[in-house]
Amino acid sequence: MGSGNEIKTPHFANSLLKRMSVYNDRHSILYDFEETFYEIMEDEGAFKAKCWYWINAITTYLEFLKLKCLRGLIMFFTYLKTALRNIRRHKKYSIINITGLSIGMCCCIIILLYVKFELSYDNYHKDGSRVYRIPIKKETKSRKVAWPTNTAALIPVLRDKFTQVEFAGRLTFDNFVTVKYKDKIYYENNVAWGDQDIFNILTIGFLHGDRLTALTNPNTVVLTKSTAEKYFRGENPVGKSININNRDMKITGIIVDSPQNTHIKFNIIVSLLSQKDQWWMTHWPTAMCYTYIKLAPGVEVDKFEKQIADLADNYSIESKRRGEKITFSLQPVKDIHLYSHLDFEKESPGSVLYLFIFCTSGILILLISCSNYINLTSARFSNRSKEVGIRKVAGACRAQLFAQLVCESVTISLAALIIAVITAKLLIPYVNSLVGAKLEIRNLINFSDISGIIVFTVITGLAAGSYPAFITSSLKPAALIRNISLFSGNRIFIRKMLVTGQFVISIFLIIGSITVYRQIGYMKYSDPGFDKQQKLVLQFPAESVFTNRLETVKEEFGKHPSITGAAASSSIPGRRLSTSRIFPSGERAAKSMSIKFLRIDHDFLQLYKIKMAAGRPFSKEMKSDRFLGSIIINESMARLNGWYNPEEAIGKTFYDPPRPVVGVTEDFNFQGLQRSIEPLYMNIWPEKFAYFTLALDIKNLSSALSFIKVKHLELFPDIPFNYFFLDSAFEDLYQFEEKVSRVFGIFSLIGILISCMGILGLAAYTAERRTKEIGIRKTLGASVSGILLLLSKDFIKCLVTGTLIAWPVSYFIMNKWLQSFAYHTNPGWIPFITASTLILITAIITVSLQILKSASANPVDSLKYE
Amino acid sequence: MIELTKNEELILLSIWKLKDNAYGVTVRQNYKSITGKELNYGSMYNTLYLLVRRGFVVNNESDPEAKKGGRRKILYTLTPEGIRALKEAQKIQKLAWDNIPDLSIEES
Repeated sequence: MGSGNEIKTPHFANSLLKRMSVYNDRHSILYDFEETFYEIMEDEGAFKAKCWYWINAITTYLEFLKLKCLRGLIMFFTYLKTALRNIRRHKKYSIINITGLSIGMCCCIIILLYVKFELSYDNYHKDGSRVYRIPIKKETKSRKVAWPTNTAALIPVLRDKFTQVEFAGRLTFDNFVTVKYKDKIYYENNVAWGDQDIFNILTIGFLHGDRLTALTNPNTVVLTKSTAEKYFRGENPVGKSININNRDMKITGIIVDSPQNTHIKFNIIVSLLSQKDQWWMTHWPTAMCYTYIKLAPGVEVDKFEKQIADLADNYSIESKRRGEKITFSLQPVKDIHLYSHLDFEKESPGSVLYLFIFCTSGILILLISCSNYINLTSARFSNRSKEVGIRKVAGACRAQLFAQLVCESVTISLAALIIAVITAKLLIPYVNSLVGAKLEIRNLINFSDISGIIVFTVITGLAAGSYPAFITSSLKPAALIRNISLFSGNRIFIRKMLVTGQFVISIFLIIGSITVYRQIGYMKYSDPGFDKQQKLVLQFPAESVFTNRLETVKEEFGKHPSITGAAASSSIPGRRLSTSRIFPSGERAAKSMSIKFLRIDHDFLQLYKIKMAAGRPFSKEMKSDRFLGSIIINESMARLNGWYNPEEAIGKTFYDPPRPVVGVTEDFNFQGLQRSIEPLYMNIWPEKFAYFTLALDIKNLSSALSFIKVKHLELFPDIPFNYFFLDSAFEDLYQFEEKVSRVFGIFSLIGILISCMGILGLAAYTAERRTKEIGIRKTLGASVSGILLLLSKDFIKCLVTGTLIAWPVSYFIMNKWLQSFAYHTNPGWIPFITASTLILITAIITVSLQILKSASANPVDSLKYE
Repeated sequence: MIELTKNEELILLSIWKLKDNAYGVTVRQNYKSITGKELNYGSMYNTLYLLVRRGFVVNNESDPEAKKGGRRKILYTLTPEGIRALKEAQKIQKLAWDNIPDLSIEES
């Protein structure tokens, strides 16, 4: 460089140039810039040169940043390519790893969806934090009841006398409501009667009609979209008239179908004003309505609760006399599904307990598969020590190796995630039908969930890979090539513990499944005390269907040879029974009880083959049975009244004017074997008969069925034909337990599968590691089976330990669960032995498959293996 | 077929023309003399980086300059692969422009 030696290139710009590493190593950036600087200085002067220098330093730096990104991408793809190549090279390991991990992830995804769904109940109501339901709690010295419904008379008081209440509304329900439009006539369930204000409290979308005035007049009704479709296909029904229970109503709106995640669902809402003259609208002791309020903003819930406590105290004179304590409380609507433990909830409630169990199971399964993954990854790395050693000798730097290995494990875990998501999408329809929910993968597609899942997967990959990668990349090449085992002592113990843990969990799950299955079988097939075989039941609205013609109806149906008997009743075993007040004669005030009842006819007890413990069944000859209102009770009812010998009950009377007890039946299970048999009383009240039971001879079923249908049309032209078989209806009582059984079964399967994966991988690792040893033993004369036994020793030890832990724990837990049923089997030996044997067989098969290869190999090859 | 972008082709040609004197400044000057545009050092280095990756060019350190505190220049040389790439480019150029008359300003 010639002149201008005093003028140097700008200092700070130089430091910027020096920061560009690649340009300094691979190119001579400082040199080039300097030369150009002096050239420009010569041509155009120092100022222009400095300007050029600065400007170009910055633009070049921008290009440098671009280069860095490019190099990063290139490096990333190189690592990816190598990772994929390595994965393909060790196919067996990789497949086992990926499968095990994706099973665990798939489980978790589904459980996550389910948990989100359960937590989302009723979270869509506008101002939801101010929306409450008011249940009622009645306490006497002997019993406590809590109902979700309340008295209809409460709402007007709340609305008028309390400014803290912004809106107040009721909903009361009826099933089997006859709905008729032109020629279409159906029974509708989930028919509600409600106040207009309900639309201001709960968020119910309106498709047609005016939300603000829909139910402000009596005899108006809104339908849900699908209900409207049934009667008005294609037409817009608003303004038309529809007949409900023989009353004409005007349709004022169409609402959206109730979503799955709400505690209260309806198909039709009729204006409650249509019922304003009913006796129960002002009768305080009757709790018929679900009562909802929306508090005004800023109202404190606890204070308000105390204020309405006074209302509770003045509930009714009768209640006061009976010494009942009435409490009103405010139940946030959002919490009803999971936390409400009241009887008679409209929809089957969720349970925080089961949610918690699912969550825990999900976490457990994920833990198992993650620990498997980490185990297998470290095993795999240690088997590749030779390859890594050679690469080190060839000059790979330690950081690169580490990054490479970690990249591999992250790739595997991401691949597992993809498979898990696809599998979950395929399985969700089955899960939905299994558990009765409506889960959708779509619910997880939002930023926080997706990023959470991906972050978790990447972390798993990192965690699984970093420790082994760290160790592998830090050892000296010589040690690696000599295939020294990287993991001794501690690691082996941890590995054994993990395997044992998996055994424990799998054994527990199998024991659980078998026990639940046996208990359900026991409940379904043990004798409930009445005959549920071959009974067809017709259901009617309880509106005096049989008045004055019960005998004629029975005769008509009896005309078919396959029909051997008929009886009518207000309800049937397996359907919910209501309670009513009954008291021993003369002791109305002191000994009034709420007892379940059945209204039956003369033939009921014979038809159902219910045995008498004392006295006689109702009979046509004894006119008093009908006109004096004779009562038959069951043994539990007798015991409740102190008559431990059923004979004592005969002749005793209830009610004023007194009605005599003419018979005591043996206890029969009218409610499912989960509960013990409650007291029951029966009498004759034909107006209340809603069920008609026919005993069939199963041989000619189809002809009997068509005969029944025709007869039904003849005898009850205005009533839709609705029938079911008693035994399947009774089995429906065990739906919940069946669900639990199925879920348990699935969890067991998953547990076994994942354990298999774990054992498979470890067996492969062991086999490979001890190839030389096996070769030597064979040379010295050991047999294949001898070697198998030797190598399996570890696993068998884990299995035995696992069994020793799992059996007591499972016994304790399953015993507790069984005790919650009034009628249950004993845990017994079968589940335990089956579980352990099953795991044993699976483990042996898995291990053998791996070890057989090495055990039967030619010793010459094994010894050459180095 | 080896594909070269315009810039890559021009830079390779410059290196070829400059023989033993191909380094940052000279390549840039050569590029300017052909196209009239000033090539940003950064984008030139990036293009060279990619050319090196593809195996057309190698970086060599030259001997230090014969003066006090002389820096080492980094010289670029074409590899046989690089020469082949240029040959192909030339062939394509010839084939494409064959039989096309000189594009003069007057067009009818």
